[in-house]
Amino acid sequence: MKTLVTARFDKRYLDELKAIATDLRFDGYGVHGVKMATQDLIKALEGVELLISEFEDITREVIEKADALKIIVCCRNEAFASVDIEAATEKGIPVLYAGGRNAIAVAEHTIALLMCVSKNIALTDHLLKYTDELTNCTYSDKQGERRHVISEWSMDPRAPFAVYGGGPEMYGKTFGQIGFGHIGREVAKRAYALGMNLLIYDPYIKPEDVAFVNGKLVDLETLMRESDFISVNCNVTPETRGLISREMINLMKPTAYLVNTARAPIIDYDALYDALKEKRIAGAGLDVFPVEPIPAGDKILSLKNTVLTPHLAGSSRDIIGHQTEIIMEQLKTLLGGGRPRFICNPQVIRA
Amino acid sequence: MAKPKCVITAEVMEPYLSQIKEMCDVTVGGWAMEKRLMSEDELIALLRGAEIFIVEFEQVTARVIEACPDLKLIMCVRGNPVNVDRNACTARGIPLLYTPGRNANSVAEFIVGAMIALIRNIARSYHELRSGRYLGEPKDNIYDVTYRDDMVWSMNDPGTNPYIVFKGFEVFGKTFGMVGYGAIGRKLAKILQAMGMRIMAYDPYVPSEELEADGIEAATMEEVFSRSDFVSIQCKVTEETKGLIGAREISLMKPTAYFINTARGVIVDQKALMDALLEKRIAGAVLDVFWEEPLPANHPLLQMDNVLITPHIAGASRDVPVQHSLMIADEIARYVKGEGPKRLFNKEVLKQN
Repeated sequence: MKTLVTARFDKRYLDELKAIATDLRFDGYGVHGVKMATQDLIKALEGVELLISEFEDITREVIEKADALKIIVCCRNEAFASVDIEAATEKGIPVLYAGGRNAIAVAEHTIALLMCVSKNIALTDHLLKYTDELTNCTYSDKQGERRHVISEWSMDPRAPFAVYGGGPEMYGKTFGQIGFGHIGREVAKRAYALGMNLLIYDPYIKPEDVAFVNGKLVDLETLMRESDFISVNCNVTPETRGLISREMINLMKPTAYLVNTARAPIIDYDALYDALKEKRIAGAGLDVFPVEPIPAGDKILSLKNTVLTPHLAGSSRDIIGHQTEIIMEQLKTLLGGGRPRFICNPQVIRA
Repeated sequence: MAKPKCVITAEVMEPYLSQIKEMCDVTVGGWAMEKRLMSEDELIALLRGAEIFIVEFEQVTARVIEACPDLKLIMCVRGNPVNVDRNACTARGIPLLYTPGRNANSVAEFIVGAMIALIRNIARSYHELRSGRYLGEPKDNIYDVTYRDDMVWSMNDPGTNPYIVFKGFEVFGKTFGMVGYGAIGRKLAKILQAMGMRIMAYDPYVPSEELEADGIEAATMEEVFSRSDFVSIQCKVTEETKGLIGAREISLMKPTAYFINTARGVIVDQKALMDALLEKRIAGAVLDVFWEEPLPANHPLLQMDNVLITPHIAGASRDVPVQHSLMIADEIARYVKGEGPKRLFNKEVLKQN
């Protein structure tokens, strides 16, 4: 198959691709880091049967002019953001995508954010490096108490051990997982390995889907009321917008932590700020915000019981490997006459 | 039969304290009451007539042990009872019990969180945001927004786009090497395996069959240092482990590898580690313990973006005292019933009896 690749492609899979693509060309974002212009793309697609893209805009015009095109593979999780699915479907072109390519990156970031806030990891690193609160101090030792003690820092009641320690372990606690898609599953798997009991809220799954993490499907109120750690991992839809409302936040335990690596509109951030400010919940890890970048001077920046990161949860160098592995599997399934799991328009292969 | 007299200066949590009170005639004092360590003389006075002593931080010297002839059992609620004179206990035929692994969950979780916080730039970007960088123009009402489908922090200038500036990597598929495979290593290995990491470990006291049964590659010190993406120290301080990690070991590390120490500073040669970091021969480090604590205010570690530092709090979870309380309640129940201890530190005491 004559093939054009404009996606970032992991070269470990090159031999596999060559077995499919006899006439192979790399160009565009994956080579130059800049999206190809529409007219260049139309030209490059002459005679091309297989297109593997990532960020290029595969518009209706591009699809209609690509006479030979048989398969579109978009290496994004959200192929609809780059490919005109409707136009492809009209021409009977299957659009495959890299479902869950960033699931591992987001899951690791999610768990680490919860640990950073509940164990004061990010806060104490900041205090050590950029303030003299923890270094420019001495502790009295009149009785020679610490003569034999190697870990001086941990002994004094005013020392960080007493002041910034004392957070909860995850082991043995209850983890509330909201949303059980690609990312939710990966987060839940890790929470389970950490020895937590899982409560899961997702109206689209069945009890047997959560058996591998020994999870229990519950309603949202129960999850909010009983969990010690809560993670939100669902898409923004009319159903999920504002799902974690003020009423829901008010159900949380005063010792509970919340992490959001999904999207801000799912949570009432005003209500979340109030709960954090008034210490009605223990803390939060937030990677997404109502306005990005966060406006300078925003009140959320002043919270000490909150760890903020600037929308980084999906930012990992390893994603190229994941997306290539996923799309190669989808492509081989399709070419082998099978039914790929990650296809935007399954109706075109049913026909 | 009268209950044995028991003195407690350690923090003992409920419901275990009540359980111990049912079995013993309990006096609580010292650190447990005032968060102040008792002197030798104060201890001797408090321990008069006591058969069991449960201690956490007080120095239990040979003089104290000799001055308390009624003592038959000492329990130190620590993973390494460095504050109790082991030889003096043994000489008097007193079993010294301890609570190995009481903080294993706390430390294991801390390592996972701190490691990812470093390689994903969580702590660093958090500091940048707190310091007013990578932010947008002030806005009157931040909740007045029109939602966009594909929310991005900023895609205009790659140099100031945090998605690119702070891009990290995953632990999935990487190799984690442990020096020491004790209670913490065991907990940690299970978590990291579930996260998709390969684990290798060097521990001269653990048979390789035991490591392999846990899905871990038994390795030499050289292999751990030369092949791991993360090298973590998880052994106790003993005469054998002081200075165990020196320039030779660190020089074997890959330039992309990270060094993790949540055990004790003295296990690692300070100059060897600092040279490797300053000369960028390794990628970075996670350090919770140091050679001097508090860390001197002018220490170069405080200037390093590729090092995550925390003030000796890895074992500080609130659940640790619950763990050690559970263990000592179990040991006292065994003692009262005349059963042998499960957590004996001075094993040599058995030979004398």
